[in-house]
Amino acid sequence: MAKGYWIARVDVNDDAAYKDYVKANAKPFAEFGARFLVRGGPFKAVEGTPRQRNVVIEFPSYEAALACYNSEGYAVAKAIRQDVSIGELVILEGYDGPQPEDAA
Amino acid sequence: MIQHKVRSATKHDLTDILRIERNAAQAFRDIGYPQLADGAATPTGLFEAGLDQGFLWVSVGDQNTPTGFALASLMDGLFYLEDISVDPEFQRQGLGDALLLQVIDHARFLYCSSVALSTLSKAPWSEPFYRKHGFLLADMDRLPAPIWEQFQAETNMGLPAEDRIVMVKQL
Repeated sequence: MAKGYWIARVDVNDDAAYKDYVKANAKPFAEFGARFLVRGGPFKAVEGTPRQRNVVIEFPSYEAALACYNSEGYAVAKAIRQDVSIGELVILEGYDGPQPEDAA
Repeated sequence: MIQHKVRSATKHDLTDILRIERNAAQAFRDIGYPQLADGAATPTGLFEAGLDQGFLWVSVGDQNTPTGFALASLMDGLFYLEDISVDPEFQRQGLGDALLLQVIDHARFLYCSSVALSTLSKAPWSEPFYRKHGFLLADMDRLPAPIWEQFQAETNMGLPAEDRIVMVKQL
């Protein structure tokens, strides 16, 4: 089954309060099987306007990725985040089909 | 050679974590702190809070069974290392290093300005371990308020202030 992903790009306005967001999202992320694939590491913006922090989170399924976002637990975390940061978040279904390397 | 990795702890790890803490604390008996070897040094509630906040990690071997753990908490802008222990059976394999690096990495992710801890000055293994990772002795007269309060609380639990040091790594 294809996995689900969150891709988030965030500018944080209040470092102190953002800590509370990270603290609050730990429980819902664990509950829905989230795994950080990218977690604010080094990056190079080669096109467009970058944001401070980039995160890619993998979930066991697209449904789980959506359910986590819509959960009561994440709603608490989201309320904290939205007051102290600005950014974009998309939730996507993964791709399980053939890959370019398969043809090689 | 068993391959170890560090992962976030789950509630299923708590029994192993408490066992590791008890086993590792036996080393304190040899340096004159039998009270640390005999009693639980870290209240269970702190571990549960660590689980909820994602501030508790375990090192695990091939069987996914914990071999060590690290517990931290947030104190204002500081990340505070509450406890770090490796099962004596698995010490000297770099697990403490891996756990501490995870704590430091998470502190950076949280935009913390520093990581702090208190430890026993008489434990010969302790200060060099933290120094290796960039921790320096804190000026006890200028401790940030939450760290000072934590230090006082630990003193009240029966650990003499003069036997302990606070170390800080600036991020």
